Amino acid sequence: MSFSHPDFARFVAEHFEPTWESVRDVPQVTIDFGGGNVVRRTLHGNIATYICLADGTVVDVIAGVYDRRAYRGRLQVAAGFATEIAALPRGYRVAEIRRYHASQLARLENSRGAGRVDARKRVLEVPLEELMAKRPALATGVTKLRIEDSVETLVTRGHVNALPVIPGVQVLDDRPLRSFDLSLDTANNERERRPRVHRLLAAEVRPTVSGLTKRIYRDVLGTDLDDPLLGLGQTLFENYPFGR
Amino acid sequence: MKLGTLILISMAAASLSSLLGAHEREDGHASTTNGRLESTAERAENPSVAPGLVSWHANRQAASAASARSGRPVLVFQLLGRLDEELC
Repeated sequence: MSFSHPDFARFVAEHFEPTWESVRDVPQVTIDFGGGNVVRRTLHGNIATYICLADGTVVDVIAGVYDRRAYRGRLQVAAGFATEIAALPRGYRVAEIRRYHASQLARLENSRGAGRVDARKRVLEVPLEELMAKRPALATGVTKLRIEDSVETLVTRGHVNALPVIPGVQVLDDRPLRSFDLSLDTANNERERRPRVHRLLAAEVRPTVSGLTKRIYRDVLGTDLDDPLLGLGQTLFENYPFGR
Repeated sequence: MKLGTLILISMAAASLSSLLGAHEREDGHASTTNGRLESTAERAENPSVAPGLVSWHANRQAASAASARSGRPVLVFQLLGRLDEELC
């Protein structure tokens, strides 16, 4: 788990005030093979990470399990964005959060409509051009703003150093990716779930953890927390001859 | 009933009470849904583990208060199950 990695734990401590909470019991499966051989596993678990201001306003949600490097990248971008939002007058914050997520959704949808060769470059360059226009300090590298990029590009390229050097963009980690164990989950999160998060937050008038939780799990992660069987009822009982 | 027997019964009751109350953790972490009491006997099937190396605030309120002081944003990690149990 990422939180057991010393460098990652240090990163979290330096950039966030962290807390964890359980949304419900996790389903567990026990298979007794006899002879004292018992295997226990969890089933249908999932996670969501909310990045919030001190007053509880949610600025971003990272939905699903990511490999550690991609997770850190997402958190780093979100921390930078939270810092920017916190610097705004209170009355402007939610509007800026909504605008940001609407623009990110539009960019993701546009980049997927682009040619295969140009898609990744467009995701990198369009945000940079806009940010240079709006925040001249970026040109001198004064700010530490992270430019949101599709983490999918980091995963599929396999090596962060393979990305072009862009002024103002900090390379998060230049070591080669060592493990792709969660790469498929990460890629799926970026491709399928990230747009859903953007769509949800672009429309949210009062983004709070309490207000978002059930919809994040149901509409982004595909897990209805109000369903006692977490959506597995049909799978478990449809063709089961002995009833419940 | 003899006094000694009464004392033993009281001690047993107190022990059971502390077992049943085991989920009222000092760190304040609790399930946010059904509020079901879990006995330590049940929880023993899912052993407790350290929730990683991160120093976690007890709840969102504590994290928000710390955020107001430090300027660092709040990170709320949500999951099915418990981060301090082996199976989560």
